This record gives sequence, structure tokens and C-alpha cells, in this order.
Amino acid sequence: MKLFLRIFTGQGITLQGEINLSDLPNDLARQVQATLTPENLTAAAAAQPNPLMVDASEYELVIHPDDPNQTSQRYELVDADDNIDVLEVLDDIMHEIVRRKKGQS
Amino acid sequence: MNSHYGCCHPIQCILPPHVVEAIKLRGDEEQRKMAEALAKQAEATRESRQEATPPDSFLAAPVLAMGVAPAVNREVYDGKRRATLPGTLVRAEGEDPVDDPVVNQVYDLTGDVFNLYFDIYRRNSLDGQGSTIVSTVHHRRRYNNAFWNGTQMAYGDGDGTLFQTFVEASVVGHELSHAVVQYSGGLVYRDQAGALNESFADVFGSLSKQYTLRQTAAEADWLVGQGILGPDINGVALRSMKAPGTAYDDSTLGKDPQPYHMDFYLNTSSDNGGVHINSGIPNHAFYLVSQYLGGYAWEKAGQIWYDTMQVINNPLATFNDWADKTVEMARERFGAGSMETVLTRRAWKLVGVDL
Ligand SMILES: [Zn+2]
Ligand SMILES: [Zn+2]
Repeated sequence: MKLFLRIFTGQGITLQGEINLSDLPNDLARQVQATLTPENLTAAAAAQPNPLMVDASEYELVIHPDDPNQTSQRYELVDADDNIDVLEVLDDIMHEIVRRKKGQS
Repeated sequence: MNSHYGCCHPIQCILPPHVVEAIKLRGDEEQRKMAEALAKQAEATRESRQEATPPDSFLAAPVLAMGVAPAVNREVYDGKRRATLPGTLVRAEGEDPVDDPVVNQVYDLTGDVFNLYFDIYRRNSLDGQGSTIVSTVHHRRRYNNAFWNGTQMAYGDGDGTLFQTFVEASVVGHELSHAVVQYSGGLVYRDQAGALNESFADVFGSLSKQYTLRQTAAEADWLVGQGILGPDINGVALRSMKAPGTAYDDSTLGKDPQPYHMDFYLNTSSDNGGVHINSGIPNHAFYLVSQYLGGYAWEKAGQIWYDTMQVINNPLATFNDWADKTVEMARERFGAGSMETVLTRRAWKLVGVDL
């Protein structure tokens, strides 16, 4: 399983990258499997933003399954009160993507 | 000198109902919700102003009554790296500094922003009525952002790689100024109105830093978020008002996408229609007016922009609407043939907003 992630940070900066589930640290990989289920992601994507909030973050996640016969799933999420568990895992994934990118350069 | 306030009527000054109706009809779902939330906010503000002030003193910008001695009222909370807001109160107004330097920095920087609005524009806090300014630090884990959520500020610590902190003078001023926009009738956070909202926050974020340091327009760095990027990032800040598009150019962050001229206006659906991108255009116009006029930017250019926010009364304002109003405000305050008026118009022309 491969994860493509794009985060608009809320300050005008967009971060993006992809990573294989198998390249994530074990703890995080377990969290991904427990938290980023289709049910949780669908619910998290349906969470409504606070209309007075400014500088909110925006997330886009695409999950590419290993099995080429399965289709990729794409989710768009915004900062909301009731999807934080999912957003925090996405933040951790981005942190790992950035850490690897910066480590290589 | 406040002659333009004479036109103001209590019910019309904040948000005209026909504008809200127009958005409800032609806006998309999300934009409609933003407009409705702003209208609700305006209604609440109107009601509390009616309680707080006698009928003849209604002003678009609530200016202080004589004899009132307002004071800043701050509350800083520790989010303890969790998402729950506001978190645990760790320093209230007048209390001694605590061990956590981030708490004390936010406390001090919030006071600096209050001072700019109060000393220069006679505005008593974010809502003009002495509201408590609530901030949460250590919001979420390694969170690369800071925001105003309609009620309070929240600051992440950054991930340590891309961002070292979000507690910096112009960023704090930026977030608090979003609240000032909201309580001044608002600018819908989408497309050009949203970019004007962003630009107002950048302008007064930079001005609060300049005011604290007593810097002239020539001395100021005109950066937003100076020093908050990580040590290995190729960049100096989030945005540059002096030279939009030059704040960073990095393998991970990409290149600063801000335009300085309408020729490079970016039509995009992300970022609410590029509100953090196209804000470079009005940002640069403000910078130009400040440079032309010289001296302290908060005195003249800042006053014109602040006046404009108080009277524009149009949450869907375009760059042209806003620019028109700045020229009108310059004319009312400084005179039709004044340098202030002439140079305000010229600055807009130079960024491609032709009046
Ligand atoms: Zn902003
Ligand atoms: Zn009026």
C-alpha cells in the first residue's frame, strides 16, 4: 500500500509526497492501519469546517492498494473538531515523508 | 477628522442584509455558510454595542468613550500538544511570567498587537469592546500552523524541521487581525475578498511588529513570519510584502507563489481561491504607499487601511472595491489633492488595480 499525501498548511504553504506503508516506522504503520480505515476516512472527510475559521489546513490523501485490480481511494479533509484523530495520523505521515526527504538531501 | 463616520447608521454599518442575501442566493454552499456565520457575528456585535453605548455614538469602528480607561485582557492556555481548545489556563492578565517561554512570548506579543490597535486607532481590543484575547499555545503535535477559529487564536509548535515556531510578532499580529476583520463586518474567506482578508492580516501583522520596534517604513523588513522556518529551509519568512514571491525557494516547501501584480493573479480552486497567494497584490500596494509616504507606516497608510476596513461594509469586496475605498478614505482624511490620496491611487495602479 502506498500513501500519497498533500497538506496545505494553512499559511499558504503546500507540502506533498508519498510513502509506502512498509517504510513507515512500526508504531505509525500500526496507527495507519487502525485509524485510516475506509469508514474512518469517509467520516473524517464529511466533517464540516467551522465557517469563521481562517488559516485552516486542508488535506488530500490518496491510498494506492498493492493489488493492481483494486482502485485507489482519494479523500479530501479539512480542519474540524471531529476528525482530529485522522488528521493527526496524517500529520505524522507527512512528518515522516519530510524527515526522509530532508535526510536524503 | 472622523468625518466619514458621520454617515454611519447603527443597522447598516456592519453588514448590510442585502449583501448577505446576495451571497445566500448566488454563493456556493461553503461560501453561503461563511456569509451566514459572518452575518450572525455582525448581529451579535450590533446587539452588544447597543447595550454598551448610547444610540448617537454608533460607529463602524467602536471608538472609545471619554473617560474609559481600557486595558488589555489576555488569557494564555496550554494545549499540551492536544487538539482540545482552549486547554489549560496558564497565564491570565496581570499574572507573573511562567516557566514556559512560549506562553510568555504569546502573552507579550498579544499585548503589542493590542497596543497598536488601541494607541493608534483607538480600538479597544479585537471586537472594539474590550473582549478578552484568548490564545492557546502547543496546539496539537508538531502542528505546522496557527489560526483564528472565530473565537480564539491557536498556535502550533511546528515540526522542528520545516517550522521552528509560529509564535512570532507578525504571525501573532496576523492572527489577531483576522479577528479585527471579523468584528468589522468581515470579508468572506474566498477569492478576492478572502485575499483582502489575508492581506489586512499581513498588513497589520507587520505594522504591529513595526510599531513595537518603532521602525519607519524604510527600516522595516516587511516580512510575515520572519525566522519561523526551520534551520535547513532555504527561505526567510512566509511572505514578503516588499517583494512578494521571494520569501522562500526550497526543495520541500517549493517556491513562494505570491504575485505582486494583477498580471500574475492566480486563478485556483485550492486555498479558498488562492487567498494566501493573491494577497501579495494588495500587500505590495500597501508597501508602496508606505514607502512613498515615508515615516511610520501605521500613521498614514495604516490609518487609511484601517478606516477602509471599518467602512467598506462589503464582505464580498473585490480588489477594485477595496482600492476605491482606500482612495476615498485618503481623500476624506487628508484631502483630495493631498500626497496621501495621489500616492494611494498610484500604488494601486502600479500593482495593476486601475481605478
Ligand atoms: Zn491568515
Ligand atoms: Zn456607515
